[in-house]
This record gives sequence, structure tokens and C-alpha cells, in this order.
Amino acid sequence: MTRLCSLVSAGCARYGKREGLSAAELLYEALDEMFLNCPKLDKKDVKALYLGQAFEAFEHKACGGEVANNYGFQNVSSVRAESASSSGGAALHLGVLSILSGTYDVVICCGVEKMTTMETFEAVGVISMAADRPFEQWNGANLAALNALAAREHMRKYGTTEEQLATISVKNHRNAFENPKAYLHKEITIKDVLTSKTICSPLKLLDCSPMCDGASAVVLCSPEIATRFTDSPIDIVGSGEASDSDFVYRDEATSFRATKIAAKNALDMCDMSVKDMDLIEIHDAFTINEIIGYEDLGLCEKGKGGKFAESGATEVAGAIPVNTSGGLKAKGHPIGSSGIGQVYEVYQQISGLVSGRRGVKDPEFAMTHSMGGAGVTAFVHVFKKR
Amino acid sequence: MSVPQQRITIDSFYDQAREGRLLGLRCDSGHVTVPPRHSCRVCQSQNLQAVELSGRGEILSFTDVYVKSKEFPLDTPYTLALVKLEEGGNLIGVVRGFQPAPKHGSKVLVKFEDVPEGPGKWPRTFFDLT
Repeated sequence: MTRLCSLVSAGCARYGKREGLSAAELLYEALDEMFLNCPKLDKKDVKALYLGQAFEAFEHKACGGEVANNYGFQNVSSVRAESASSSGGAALHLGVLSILSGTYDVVICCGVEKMTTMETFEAVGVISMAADRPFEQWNGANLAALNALAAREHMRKYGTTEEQLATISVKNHRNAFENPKAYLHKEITIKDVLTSKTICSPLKLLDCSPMCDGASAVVLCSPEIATRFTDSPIDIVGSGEASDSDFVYRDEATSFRATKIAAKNALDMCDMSVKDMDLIEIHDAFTINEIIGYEDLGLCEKGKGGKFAESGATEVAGAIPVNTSGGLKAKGHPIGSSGIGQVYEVYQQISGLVSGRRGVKDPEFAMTHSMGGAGVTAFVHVFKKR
Repeated sequence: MSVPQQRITIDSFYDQAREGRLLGLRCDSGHVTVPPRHSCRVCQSQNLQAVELSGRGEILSFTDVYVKSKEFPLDTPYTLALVKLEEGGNLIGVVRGFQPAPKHGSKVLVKFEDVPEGPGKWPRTFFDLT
């Protein structure tokens, strides 16, 4: 199995309403923890910084160069990656490619979004920019609506129920409850989900991830120098990316082809099956996304995602724990950070830093799935404990 | 590689739509692409001819939207649908006049109308029950 690059440290600024802190300051918080977790890493080791951030409309953009230099990395290569909700996944992918190409030996991949300075009414408009402007957004579609169209069709075609959608939310809230980095610390019931107010039917408030502030950062390096920084590196052994047309052009509303292709590319690189994973962080901006994610990633047959959710297989103690962090649903979805925040969870779990109810027992393999728009882009990465 | 023989820009699509003509793009294999783009949505051919479509279609999926966006002027809730057009291709728009609620397979006719209270760059897409 080829090591593409190694993950040697990670940090995450607590997700939530972080009043009084700018996007850049949230990133500094994540970077501080990342350096604290890796005392042998020096700022001078870092050659490049890739920053995922989706929208500058929320706040002045956290320009990669500005962040890098204000934090004290001098004259490093610095690029902002934008890929809607998968901006973090895109930043990670760029980091992997830069190491693989031999251009750099140590890079930082990070992500941030500062969303709570804006009223919901305005923020929905901003986030809807991730949909096609002239033919989706212009005609009344927002991201929740597109995913609601997918959910309704999944229910009609496969008999998926609103209760099955709700099980995703209940599980992810339970996981977030013990995650100190999570925004929503509240355990909920199926009934709570079903009786929460409708956002876009059949999706209700508790089917949707919350807008919040947050940032995260990870260090990648060449596999051969990883032990200079840590005794227990984690190798990235698969990195896949794929794109698709906007939702309106597709006849298939219940599957996201980009996820399937990205997963196949990543798994083929390391000759692994998704069923070999010990934990997976799946993009769950809406509960239907996790159910479709089960199917597109190959955890269950097409159309069986609802039943798979109900079976308990993806609980922490189940056969394949999914979203032990609480997911975007309950840890929170500060858009540009989410894809890197998933990697922070993998780092924590594989490094044995998660104790209590949500800790996975001795994980060796993990996967992250970061999706942008309603299936327009997807990034899938596979991690292995060395 | 050949370049597109015929293009429909977003503005020209909506200009024609405002006059009551729904335009699509048909490739050599007969696939119809709507909304307009630079290649066939099925086979990626760039050999495309503009064709006028009937405007008839059926609902693939729908949702009642309760969340208000600064970018969209209609009052909530409204019913949004993904509609498959008779000749091929899809449109997303607002469903009007359904009593009771629409369902998968409901037959509709596409109508484009300017919404006075919103910015007027393009007309919006509506679906009427047939």
C-alpha cells in the first residue's frame, strides 16, 4: 500500500457562535492546537498553506496569504480553495497533491467559515450560491430544497421514511454530546426531529446542519520524514476527487455520482474496500445526505440506506461507526472548515485521543467524505494508522 | 474536437421564454438538454441545435419551501418542483394551483413570468397543472 503522504498533527477551534473572534482568529486557534499537538514541528518547516473557505460574503475573506503571514509563516506558498461545502476537502486534496508531486515536504491544510454575523434570511441567500444561479437559485431552490427533492424521491422510490432520516440526526446529536469541539450539545429523540419546524418538506429543522463559526487545521508531510514530527504518524493512502453537473441537469435525484467516483478512485489507490474502514466521517449537511452516502460509498445496497441507518450499524458501537464527531449535523457546519474538521476527528480517533462513549476501539483505517453543492463535487480520503 | 454549432446564452433563453418559447438543445443522438449549456447533458456532444419544446412535463419530485431567502422574492411557503420535460431535460420552478398537493408524475405546463417585487433580470419558472 503506497503512502501518499502522512498526517502528523491536527487542531480544531470549537464550533459554535464564536462572538468576538474573526475568521482569521478562529484559524489561529486551530493552528495553535495543531502546533501544541506536535512539539517537534516548527513554523519554519511549513512550505505551503491551503485554506478552505467557501464564501467571503459572511465576512472579509480569510485570504490564505494574510492568514499565513499574520500567523508568522513567512513567504510560504498560500492558496485559498473554494468548492462550496467541500472547500475543506479541496484544501486537503491540494495538500496531498503538493506532497505527492515532490514540490513541498511539509504543508498545512486548513479551513474556516465565520457565519453567525449574518441573519438567516441573508445567509440562506449566500449559501444558495452553491446551487446553480440562473436555473436553480433564481427559480426558488436553496440547498435544503435541492436535498429535499432528493429526500422525497428516495422516499417514493425506496420506501425510506421520515423516521429513518431522523435516526441520523439522533445518532449524530448523541455523538456530538460528548465532543467538546461540537456546537450542539443536546441529545434529541426521533419525536423531537419529527416535530421540529419544516424547512423544506420532508426535511425539518433537525434534519439540517446548523450554521456556525469554526476552523480546523492539519499538517501533512512526506511519508519518509513523518517520524521526525511524531512517533505515531497516520498515512493518507487514498485521495479521490470527482465532479458532476448541477442538480437540475440530472435525471437521477437519489444518488450522487461524484461521491461514487471519488470513493472508487480513493479506494482503488490503496486496494481497499469501504467495508474495511473502522470509522467514516460522511458529509451530512442534511440527514438524507448520510443515507445516500451509505449507498454511494458502498456500505449498503442502493435504496437500503434508510434501513441501514435504523439497524444501528453506524452507531459508535456498530459495525462501521459513521460521524463519531457528531457530523456536520451536530458538530456543526462552518462550511470551509467542515472537510478538515472531519480529518481532525480521524486524527483524534486513530491517535487514541477520544475517550468515553464516542471513542472507537483501536481504529486502523478511516475515511472522510466531503461534498460540495448538491453532489457537484466530492472528495474522499482514506487514512491508515502506521 | 468540434465547437458548438449553436449556442443559447442564459439571457437569450430567458428572452425567448418571456415571449412564450421554451428552447432546448438537441444533439445528433437526439438527446435534449435543458437548461442550455455548452454540451449535451447525456453524451457531452457539442453538436447541438436549438429546438422549440412543448413546455409539457411531469413532476419528478417536489418540496414545500418554508425558509425565506434574500435572493428569492416569493412569499413562503411555496412548492418547488423538479420537472422532467416531455422531450427530455429538466427544469426547477414553483408549482401553482395544485389542490390537493402535487405528486410524482403530476402533469404540468411550464410558464415563465416576471415577478414584480423581485429584481427583473430574468423571468421566473412556474409550473401549472394541466
